[in-house]
Amino acid sequence: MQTPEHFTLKQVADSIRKVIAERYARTYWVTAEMHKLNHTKKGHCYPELVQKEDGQILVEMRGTIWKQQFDRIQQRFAEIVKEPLRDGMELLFQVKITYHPLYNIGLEIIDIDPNYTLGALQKERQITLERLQKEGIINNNQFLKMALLPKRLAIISQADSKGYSDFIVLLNGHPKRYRFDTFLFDATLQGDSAIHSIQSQLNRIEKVKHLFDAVVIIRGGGGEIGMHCYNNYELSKRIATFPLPILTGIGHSTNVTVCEMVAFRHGITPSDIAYFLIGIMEELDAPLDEYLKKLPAFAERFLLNKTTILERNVRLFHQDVKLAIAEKRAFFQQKVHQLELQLADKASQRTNELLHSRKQLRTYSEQLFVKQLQLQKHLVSLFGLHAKNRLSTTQNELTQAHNSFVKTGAFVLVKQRDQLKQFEKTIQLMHPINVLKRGYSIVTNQSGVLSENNNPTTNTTVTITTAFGALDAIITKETTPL
Amino acid sequence: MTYEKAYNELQEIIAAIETGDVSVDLLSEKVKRAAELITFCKEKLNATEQDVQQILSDLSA
Repeated sequence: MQTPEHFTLKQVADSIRKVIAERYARTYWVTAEMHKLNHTKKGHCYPELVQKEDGQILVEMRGTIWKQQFDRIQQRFAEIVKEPLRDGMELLFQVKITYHPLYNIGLEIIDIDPNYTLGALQKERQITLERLQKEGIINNNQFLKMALLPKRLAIISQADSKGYSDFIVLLNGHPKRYRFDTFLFDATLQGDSAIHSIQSQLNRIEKVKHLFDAVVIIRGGGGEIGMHCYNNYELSKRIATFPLPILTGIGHSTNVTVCEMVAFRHGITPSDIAYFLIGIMEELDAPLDEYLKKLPAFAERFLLNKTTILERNVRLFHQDVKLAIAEKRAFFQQKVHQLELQLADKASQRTNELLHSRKQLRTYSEQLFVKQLQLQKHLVSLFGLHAKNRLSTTQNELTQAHNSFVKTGAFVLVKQRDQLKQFEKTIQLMHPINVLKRGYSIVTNQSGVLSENNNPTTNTTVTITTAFGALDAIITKETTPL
Repeated sequence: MTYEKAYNELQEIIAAIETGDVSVDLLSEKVKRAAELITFCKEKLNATEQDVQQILSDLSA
C-alpha cells in the first residue's frame, strides 16, 4: 500500500498562515469585551476578548498587544477617556487576524479607539444625570442647611494620599489656629471599586451623623484617571440624598462628574475645600474680632448718646413743666374770675329775692292789718246798730212798762224791776257777739239788718257778718217767705 | 450652647447696643454677656471637641 500524500504539521501551519494572511490581509475594527487584560511583566498584554449574551460567553478569542503598542494605546486612552484600560470594558479594537503555529488563531491588537469608550461613558453619565433629575433628588444635598460652624468633618479619603495630608495640613495650619475635628473614613477613591468603598463608608457615617457637621470626600495625587466611578448612578444618588452636606475635592476633570454636581459643594482639589472651610471660620471670626475691638466704643457711644438724650429730655421737661404751670395758672385764674362773677351774680339775685320777699311781707301785713281794722270797724258798727235797735225796742218797752207801771202801781214797779234784771241778763245773753259765736250771722244791707221791712232785692250786695269775719254777698234770687 | 445660638445672641446684643435699643440698666450686663459670647465663639473656633472614642463606640454600636 502506497503512503498517501502527506504534509508535515509545519506545512499545514504555513498553509493556514498563508491563507489567513491572504484572506485577512487588512485590519478590522471589532467590538468586544476585554475580559482580562493579562499585562505581563515584559510589558506585553494578552487580553482575553469575549462576546457575551445573557451573561454567557458566546465567543472567546485571544488577543495580543505588544508592549510598544500597549504603551501608546494606554497613554492615548487615558488622555482622552480619563480612565485606565481595565477588565470588563467594552472596547473598539483595531485588529489584525493572525495565525501563529504555537498559539493558533488570535487577534493582534493594533489600536483601541478611546472615543468609542468616551462616548459610552459620557452616555452613562448623561443617563445618571437624567435619572436623578427625573427622580427630583438632584439638588437634595444642596438644599441642606449646613451648620453655621462646620468643624466636625467626616473625611472620606485615602489615609496615605497626598490629597488627604494636604487637606489636614491646610485645615490645621491657619495662623489663627482654627481647629477642625476630623475623622477619617478610609476608602478607595478611584476606579470601579470606589463606588462600593465610598458607599459603605457613607453608610457608616450615617450611623454617627449626629457627631458630624459635614462629609468631605477628597482625593488627590491620583491623577485624572479612574474618575468615571463618580458618574455611577448609585453613588451619585447616595450623595444627593445623604443627610449631611457633602463637600467634594476629588480632582481635575474635564467634565464635572455627577457626584460633584449633586454634592453640597465641589472644589477641584482638596485644598479648595480646605480653603472653603477655613473661609467660613475666617468669616465667623472677623466680626468677633471687630466686636471685641468695637464693643467698648459701642458702649461708650451708647452712654454718650443716652446722656445727650437725657439732657435734652431734662431741658424739654423743664420747658414743658413751665409751660404746663403757666397754662394751669391761667386756667385757675380764669376759673376764679368766673367763680367770682358767678358768686356776685348769685348774691345780687339773693338780695333781690330778699327785697322782694320783704316787700311782699310788708304788703301782706298791711293788707291784713287793714282787713282786721275793717272787720273791727264793721263789728263795732254792727254792734252799735244792734245796740241801737235793742235800745229803741227796750225804750219802747220801757215806755210801755212805764205806762203799765204807772197804771199798775208800785207793786208792778217792783215786779218790773225784777223783770228788768232778768232782761238785763237776757240782753247779755243776747249780746250779738255771743249770738254770732253760736253760729248765727247777721245779714245787713245799706238800710241795716234785713227784716220784714227791709227786704233785699236781687243784685244788691248784702254783708254777712259772722263771728269770724264779714262776707259781702250778692243776692241772686229772692225766695218766698217761710 | 451651640455656636449658632451664641453667635445669634451676640449679633442681637451688638445690634441692640449699636441702635441704642437697650436700657442703660442692662448695658453693663449686655456688654458682659457679649464679651462672654465672643470668648465662647472664639473658643469654639480654636478648640478641639471631637471625642474620637465616642465616634468609635457609636460606629460599632
